[in-house]
Amino acid sequence: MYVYGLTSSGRTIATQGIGDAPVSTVEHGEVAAIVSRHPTTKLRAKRRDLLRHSDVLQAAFAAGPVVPLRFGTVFDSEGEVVESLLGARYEELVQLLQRVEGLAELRLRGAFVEHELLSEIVAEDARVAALRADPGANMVALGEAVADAVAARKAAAADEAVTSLGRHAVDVHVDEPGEELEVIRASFLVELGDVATFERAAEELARRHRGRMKFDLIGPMPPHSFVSLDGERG
Amino acid sequence: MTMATQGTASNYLQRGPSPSGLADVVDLILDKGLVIDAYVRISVIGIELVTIDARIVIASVDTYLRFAEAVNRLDLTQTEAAGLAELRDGGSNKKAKGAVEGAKEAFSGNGREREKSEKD
Repeated sequence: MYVYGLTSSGRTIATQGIGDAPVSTVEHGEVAAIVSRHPTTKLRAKRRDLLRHSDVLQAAFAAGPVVPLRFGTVFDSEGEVVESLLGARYEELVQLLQRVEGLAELRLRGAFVEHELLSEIVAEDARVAALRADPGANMVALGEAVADAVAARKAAAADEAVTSLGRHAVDVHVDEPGEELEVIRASFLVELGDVATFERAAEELARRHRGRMKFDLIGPMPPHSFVSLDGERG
Repeated sequence: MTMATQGTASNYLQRGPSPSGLADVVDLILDKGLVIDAYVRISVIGIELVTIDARIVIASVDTYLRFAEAVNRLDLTQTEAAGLAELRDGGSNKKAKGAVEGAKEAFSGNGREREKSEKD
């Protein structure tokens, strides 16, 4: 049994899971595991399977609260799901479900547009402008000056994003930005009733930085970044 | 920056209701979500290949050289901000151009290489 996540009992999730297996639920008291049959205990992290995992959770999320599990959780049987998961951690799982009820994750990523950013830095940063204009300047010194200016602008923009959007969220989780010009990669836990307000704030943020930054916003979706159990590696 | 010329939000903010690309799902489905007892989670083959691209060291000489090359290559007359800089700096850019060409040649073999993530 492949487990996608948890929801509250009494819900039907009519969709197809990994390997096109029909999705069903395994209920135990108030908590239900969202599952589909999976033939083996070996699983590759294939693009389509990852997307399917996500799609199943999204479908369930449209119907009620969802605690998403990380990709790759498989139990031998339906009985095992009840015994090792739902029953074994029952109280904690009920609490976790209650905690995420009515909440959604919205994930924002923002990155600088290189040409615009560098133009801005050459125009505004005296040190960079001077090194750039000096034919004898050391290339590493110039590059380092640019990198410093980039870092300062990244910090300022990330700060602004977290502050301006964080006020519409009940929790924020900021991840380390990946790529060189990536400014922010953060998840916001937002009450469903505040999603529209949050989106407007995100639009405002993007508008303030238009041309120099590109943003994308995913969600509302199940709170992937905000679920953990005590004593588990997250 | 007048209100009249502002388009829809999609001009600045790309929206997606749910994760749709490989980067999104790797980010959210492989890296996040509830983890039940470690022994339950079976071996997921291929994760290393998918996530290898995720972390890149920023403060390196390679990056400095790339930035240096990029700012030297900028054609400042194309942007408004740059226009101001040119006014302020006078004709100094012309001198810099000569140096740029030489520098570009010197570092042309220094293209950045990134490991590509496995697409499936």
